[in-house]
Amino acid sequence: METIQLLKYEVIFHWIALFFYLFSTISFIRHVTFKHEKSLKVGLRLALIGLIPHTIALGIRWYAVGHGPYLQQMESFSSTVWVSMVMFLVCVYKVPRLKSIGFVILPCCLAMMILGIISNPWVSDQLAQTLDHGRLEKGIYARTGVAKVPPTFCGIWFVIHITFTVIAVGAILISLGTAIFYLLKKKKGENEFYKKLPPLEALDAYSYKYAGFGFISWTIMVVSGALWAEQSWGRYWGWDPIETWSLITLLLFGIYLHLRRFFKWQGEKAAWFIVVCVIFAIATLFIIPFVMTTVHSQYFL
Amino acid sequence: MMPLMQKLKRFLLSRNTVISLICAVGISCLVGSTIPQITTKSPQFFETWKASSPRLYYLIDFLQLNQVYTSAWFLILIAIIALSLAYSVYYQLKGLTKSKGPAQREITERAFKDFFTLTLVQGSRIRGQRSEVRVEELALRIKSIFRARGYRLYLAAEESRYFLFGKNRAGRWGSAIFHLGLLICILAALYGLAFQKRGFIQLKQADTFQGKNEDWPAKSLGAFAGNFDLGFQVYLNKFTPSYWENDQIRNLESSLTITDSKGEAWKFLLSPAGPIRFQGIKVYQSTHYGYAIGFILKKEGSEEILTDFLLDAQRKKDKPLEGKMDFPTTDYILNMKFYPNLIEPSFYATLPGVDLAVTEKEKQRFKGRVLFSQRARLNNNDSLKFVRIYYWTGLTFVKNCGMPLVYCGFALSTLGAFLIFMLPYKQVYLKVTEEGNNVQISMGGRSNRYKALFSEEFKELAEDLEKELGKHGNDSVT
Repeated sequence: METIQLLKYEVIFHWIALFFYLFSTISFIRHVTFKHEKSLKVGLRLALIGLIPHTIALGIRWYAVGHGPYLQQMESFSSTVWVSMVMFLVCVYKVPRLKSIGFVILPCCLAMMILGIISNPWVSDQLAQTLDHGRLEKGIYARTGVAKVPPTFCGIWFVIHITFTVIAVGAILISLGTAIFYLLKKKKGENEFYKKLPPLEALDAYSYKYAGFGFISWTIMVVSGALWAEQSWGRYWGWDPIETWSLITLLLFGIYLHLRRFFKWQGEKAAWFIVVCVIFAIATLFIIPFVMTTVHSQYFL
Repeated sequence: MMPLMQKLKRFLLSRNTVISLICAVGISCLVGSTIPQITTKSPQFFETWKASSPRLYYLIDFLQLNQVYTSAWFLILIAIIALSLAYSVYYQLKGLTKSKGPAQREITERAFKDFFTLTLVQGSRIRGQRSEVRVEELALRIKSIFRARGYRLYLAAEESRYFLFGKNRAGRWGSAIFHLGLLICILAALYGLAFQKRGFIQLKQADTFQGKNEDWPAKSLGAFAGNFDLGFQVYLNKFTPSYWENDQIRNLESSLTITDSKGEAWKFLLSPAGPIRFQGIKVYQSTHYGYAIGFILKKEGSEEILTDFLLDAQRKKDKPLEGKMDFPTTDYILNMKFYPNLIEPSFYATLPGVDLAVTEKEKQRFKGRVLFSQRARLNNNDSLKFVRIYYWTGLTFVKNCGMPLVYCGFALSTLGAFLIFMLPYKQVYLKVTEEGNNVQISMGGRSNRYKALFSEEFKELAEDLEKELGKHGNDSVT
């Protein structure tokens, strides 16, 4: 099958996944807002079903463009959502009491998915122009806006760097979900709905556990990124804005973990601190590349 | 002297100091990424800034906020962190190696009681009628229950009346290993600042770099690095750029011949994915490359001057290469737009030509297109002949003996973080006592992380034991 045809299918599957995630998000919001128990099951099922077209879409893209989904904005967003969804579903499979955190994770994933699809050049003006004017002579890659792998994007450290970036996002989102439910339960603890959630101490511990996992993943991301930079450019640290902000986020997690350990910052304070950490992590990964000149923005096309 | 050392130790290990140091590094990084740094902006930028707001500029310059990462105060901060880490790691390792561990403890009733005085996460008591259940049989069943949940028996004493089970014992080392890794990373970075040698050259095809200290067009040396003499020569045989279908760079490949001081020649193929190492120096393929185009200037009544101009390749291969440069030893300024292929946009030189504008003291001497091997006649009877085209490529040479330390530090900090958060150390103590016909099991446990989650696991263990006792004892379990 022609690459252009494959990419068309990829976009269709991405849209299908988006709709499943949208309805799943609505179900989770209904579940938490109106305390509707059935919506929880529906939301989870929709999320699980949405993962199928999403997996197919990513598989098609990988096959069609010849590299993993990490190079362009839409690829990065889509793969981050996929990993976050898988981690969320594995988490609720292992700890069913945490199902409700989908109320936090699904909207985040949905937002990233929408940003990903919007930033897909195929979906935006290029698609319309290409199909309207049939500019086949320009070559399929130019028409679909597909980026190809630059020569420095290779090696095991690069693969580890990318993998742990998306894993870190997934872990941090789960930590955020449990932290937010901690805050909600603390505020509305008398409500029957919140009594079904794990006890406050357990929610706090889960938030800590996933923050810890996020910290490990973030550390591996920074370390492997440094080693990849050393292999490619002969320097492992260059105070590039993304490097610096990754370090700031890592230090912030370090402060969180030390405050918990030594200053007994648990419960509400810790939950609010996690919210701040997540904001910094999101800013590092998805805002800094666009507002500052960095070696990452050169590739995060 | 001792009180001072004690004070220093107390200060460096204090919780407030540790948190303050982490915050200080974080704030420094924030400052470094928001205030323009001299390593990332041009001197003109700072001149403009100085002219527009001199007071602010002087304040920032005085506080070295425009060179945060190489400023004296930042280095002092890093040195204090290194010292704090060193103390912390030393005492952590001392604590870990000094403790004999449960298996080596003296097993007495009193020692066991001591365990119970430790932070008890959850306590539970299980009683069962003894009947035919013998303590030895019960001990076997207890062991199998704990083994099923991943616990190992560390200690069994006094005819199976005392047990100590544990899980993830390696997790105890996590914090020490993580902080040791960080310390090594910092030491490696400081070593790099002191001794690293780094040089960058632009080498034309069929040209040789002699590798002498004075030959580097750009270099950065550590404070105590001395000169940077390669000790070998580098000759660029061939440079080959290749492109994807969408005009993005696919690969850059340099064929190099390196001749050592004894005159022995070695051939290497260099690409961004595969740096080469020669005599302790690593050579990297830069992503800077382009064309060197050569002109011969013929001035009336003087000798011909041959000069090459290095033009940077654009990110897309169909874009022309542009440059504005002085012709050395003359007043001519050449403004060039070089097309490797004039018929079809391409990076490969098949029909090369250059759109050339020559000015001399702001007077235009020539403007037009010059094809390869053609001569451009300037309007003052001088002439420029477009005589040669070569590829050029950037090569980076790095000597940093601290890299093994960096790798070691990274590996240790990653391992340490994994041990801390993924393998929390858990211990469960059991005491089996017989009171008349009853067997009583007392349990206690602790974990160094996620205590609320451990408490749930502890309850499950207690339930398992209750079930087991109920199954084998002939009476109900309370």
